Amino acid sequence: MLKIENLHASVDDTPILKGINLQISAGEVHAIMGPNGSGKSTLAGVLAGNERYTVTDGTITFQDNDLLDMKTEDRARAGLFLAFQYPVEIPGVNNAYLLKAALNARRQYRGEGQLDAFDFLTQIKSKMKLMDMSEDFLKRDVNAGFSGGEKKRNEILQMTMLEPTLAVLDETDSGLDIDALKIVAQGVNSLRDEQRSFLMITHYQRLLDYIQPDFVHVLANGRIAKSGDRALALELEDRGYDWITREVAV
Amino acid sequence: MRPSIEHLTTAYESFRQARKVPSWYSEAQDKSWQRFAEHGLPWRKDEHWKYTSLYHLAKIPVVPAPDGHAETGANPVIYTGDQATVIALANGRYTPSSSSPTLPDGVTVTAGVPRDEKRSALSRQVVRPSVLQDLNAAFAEQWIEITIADNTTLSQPLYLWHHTSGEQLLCSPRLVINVGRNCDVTVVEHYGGAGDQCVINGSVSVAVAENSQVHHTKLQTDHDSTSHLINTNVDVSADSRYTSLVIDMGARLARSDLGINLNGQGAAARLYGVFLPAGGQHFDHHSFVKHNLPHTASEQDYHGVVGHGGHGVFNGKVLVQPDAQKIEAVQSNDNILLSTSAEIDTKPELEIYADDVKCAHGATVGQLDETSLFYLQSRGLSRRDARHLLVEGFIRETFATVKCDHFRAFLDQLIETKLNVLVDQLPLDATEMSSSKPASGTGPANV
Ligand SMILES: Nc1ncnc2c1ncn2[C@@H]1O[C@H](COP(=O)(O)OP(=O)(O)O)[C@@H](O)[C@H]1O
Ligand SMILES: [Mg+2]
Repeated sequence: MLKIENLHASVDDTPILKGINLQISAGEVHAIMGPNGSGKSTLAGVLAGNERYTVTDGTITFQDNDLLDMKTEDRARAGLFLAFQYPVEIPGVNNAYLLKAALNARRQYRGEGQLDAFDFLTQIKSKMKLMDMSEDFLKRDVNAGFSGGEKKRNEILQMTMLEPTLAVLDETDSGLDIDALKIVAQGVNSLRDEQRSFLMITHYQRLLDYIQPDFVHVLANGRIAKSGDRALALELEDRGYDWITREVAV
Repeated sequence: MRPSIEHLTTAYESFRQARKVPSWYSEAQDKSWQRFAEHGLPWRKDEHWKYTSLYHLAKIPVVPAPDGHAETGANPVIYTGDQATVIALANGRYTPSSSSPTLPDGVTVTAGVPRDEKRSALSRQVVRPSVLQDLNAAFAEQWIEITIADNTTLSQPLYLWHHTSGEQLLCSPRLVINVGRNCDVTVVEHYGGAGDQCVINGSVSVAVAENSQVHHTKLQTDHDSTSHLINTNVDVSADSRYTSLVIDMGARLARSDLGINLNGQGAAARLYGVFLPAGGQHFDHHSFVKHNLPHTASEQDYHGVVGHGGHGVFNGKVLVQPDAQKIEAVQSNDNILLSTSAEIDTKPELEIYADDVKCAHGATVGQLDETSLFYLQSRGLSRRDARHLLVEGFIRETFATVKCDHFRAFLDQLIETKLNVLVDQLPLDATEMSSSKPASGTGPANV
């Protein structure tokens, strides 16, 4: 599904990612943890094609395609989804409109016809129920004036509608209270199957109580410093990140 | 040097020979002409003309628009009649044959020279007098007067279809709109001239009596060789609310002067504007709101989207007279430059002589936000569609005041077409915007 090899990326000539290797197979859930500023969002941004980041070395293969050669929108249409750490407010554009445009762009890319308006409504209503969102939300402008938790829930709602093959969640759990966290986890778990993969970036192991990962990786100093299973997340919870950062520095 | 008025002088001479009007009126026209001729066309050294040049007018050998009807063929963009009451104006003249056969109850339309000087609204106090008004008065043969009786509520807009056809015509529409007490009406003026190199120099005078609601939209989709110069002057009485929406899409040059007198306690004005210049177009909005009495309110919100090779100008002024306490005035102008060759000059001004007031103003100039574009692209929208969506969202909020759904759908369609032109002109390179030049003249308060 996804294969990252020796990935180097920088911002304004400052190297941030310094040789990432990571392979995700269909149906797997990977968690990436790491201290603030270690490059987690940079990795997510590079995957989605944010031009703020310059890839200086390495390759990324996504479903047998050279991901780095694809435009941001084509990555999305091919099934990559990024839930933003800081979702963007788009005044004047309502949620329903954006979702329809996104779904239609993907359908067109795949040679399918336009979305049926009735199907869309039926689908979105059931997904909104799942995410515990009220229907007036559809008419509201994208993220404009939303609380932090509402924005995160909106990202997951978009994800459940777009049904990606690979979802990258950048700290979707940060700043959520426990009820909101459960709703977000429910949204993610509703999509889990053998075909779909997840890359969950998180700062706290708490999320992993609700979404069980197959693998846990620690990002430190621009590299994956350690990989393991859920036990690693619990160890991090106990011991913090310092010991890993020290191991890497050695 | 001022632009030459040689062609205009020739035009006035031939107009004088041919006109058939009462002598008091021809004398008044000669006086107007003299005032204009002594001053000449405005140029950059005149106040309020710093950013807008009329030199190209000196090169057009205009002739006064002849009587008769204008062909509608070339510009099919017209709001359909069954959802509105159409009042057609061809080359600045009322044409009943192209208008709706009947007018709603409470509405009357007359056209012609006013019976005498007193009745002519010549005596009305203009918020900001201009020599172009003198030029209009010199050439205007017909005053089109729309009167709305007290207690009239209109379920459909009055749609004033300003049309021109022909070449190098000088059209001088003169419109007087009188709204009675306790009315609720929507007036749409649509300037959609098809004529080549025509100059439309219009004067619109609106008076709103007490306790009325008036929605007035000026939509401009003139032919791209047109010079569109319209001065609108509005008197708002106590407890009345006047809402203006001005939309510029067509023309080569469009200059809109909008002056508002808030003349009674409880009078309010809301002014919205959308201007989308590109490809050599120059759109200039000058608004001036005078708070003459206490407890008056005004709000201005203009949104400019300037495409490749476009130039936008906004100058909004609010004047609060010494005794006008407890007033509220808000003014903002936000602009998006889509290209490095796009230009905007913006200057909101406040002049306050009372001390118990609430005023705020501001202007912004920026490019489309890269983070927002990336967000939309990450959802599968192309860069082009992401731009389109952001720009559309940016201007859409100014349409919120359009009450008639059918008319809003008509506007959406027009805007959509124009936006496609604007975004399709842009290169698809993501980094092309980074060196855009900043705004000139983003004005601080000069209180
Ligand atoms: N857009 C940016 N501009 C400048 N510096 C950035 C940008 N994005 C990230 N950085 C820098 O790159 C490093 C990694 O940031 P980030 O990937 O956001 O870390 P994380 O998500 O792990 O907290 C930090 O030092 C940060 O300051
Ligand atoms: Mg981050």
